[in-house]
Amino acid sequence: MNKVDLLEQLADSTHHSITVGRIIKKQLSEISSAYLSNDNAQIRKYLGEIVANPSDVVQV
Amino acid sequence: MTQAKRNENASLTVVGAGIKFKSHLTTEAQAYIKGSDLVLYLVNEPAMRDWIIRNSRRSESLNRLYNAYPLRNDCYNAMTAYVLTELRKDQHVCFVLYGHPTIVAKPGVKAATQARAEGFHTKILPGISAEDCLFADLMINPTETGYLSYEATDFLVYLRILDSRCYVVLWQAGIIGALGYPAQHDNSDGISLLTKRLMQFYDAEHKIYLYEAAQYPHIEPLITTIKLGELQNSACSPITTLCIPPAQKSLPNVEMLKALRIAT
Repeated sequence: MNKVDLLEQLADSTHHSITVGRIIKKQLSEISSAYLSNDNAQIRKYLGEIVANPSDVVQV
Repeated sequence: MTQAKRNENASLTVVGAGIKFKSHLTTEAQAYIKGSDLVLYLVNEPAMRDWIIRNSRRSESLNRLYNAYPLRNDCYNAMTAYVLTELRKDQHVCFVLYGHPTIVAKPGVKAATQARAEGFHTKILPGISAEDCLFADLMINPTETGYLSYEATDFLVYLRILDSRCYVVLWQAGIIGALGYPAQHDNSDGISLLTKRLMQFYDAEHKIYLYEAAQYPHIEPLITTIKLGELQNSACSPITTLCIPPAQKSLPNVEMLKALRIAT
């Protein structure tokens, strides 16, 4: 599954559906530790490496 | 008053993508991204960019214009001009900006104002801003004391009024005085001047918040509590917002209470 699809699934889950959240978070953590860092900049950097043309995005 | 004849084949809808990926994208913003002929976008993280590409008929990033000129204002003018050029090609254009599309975002308002002046059907749809997230995450009801909200450079340059009985929100505290590309900005002078100015109103011991909203679902916002005196040595990113809680209690005006018949 595309990593952005996984993020979209996370956006659709609440902390109530903890099982769903855990599964998706686990999937993301298997790919990169960035998500579990709880750091916007780390996640942006990671996503910038896996999607095409990261230069299309404003650097903050 | 005669209303100008509208071109039904062309329109401009400026939308905000919110801060948190997908979670903050409103139903109406999604509809316009999916239903427009062309989506032009300025977003600050890769997942939103990817989502727009996959969910639009045709899309184009305006980030190349964000870097095109030494002065950011010229970059914004170039973006506005580009949006209007595409709109005049008789198509429904959606312009997506991160956060709320009129807050700390010049090209959205400028493009919409010009498009409307030219007779195009034009709308701006709200998005969730960093300030909205801040009030929720810090559990603040800003109407309890009132609040003042300024862009940090604007606050300094125009010596804006400050009322220390209110909450004060200062945007873009990490890029004070940056006229060019924010990512390359040295903020040391700016943050030092801001600290000095704020200490005219507050004690150095006054607690303030450095705030960065979560950009991704299920991660926590970054909230750092510091003393005002520590501000100049604190790290602020370009998306850091400063929140200063009230330093003084508000006291009601008795005459006004009487005039409103709240008190006798």
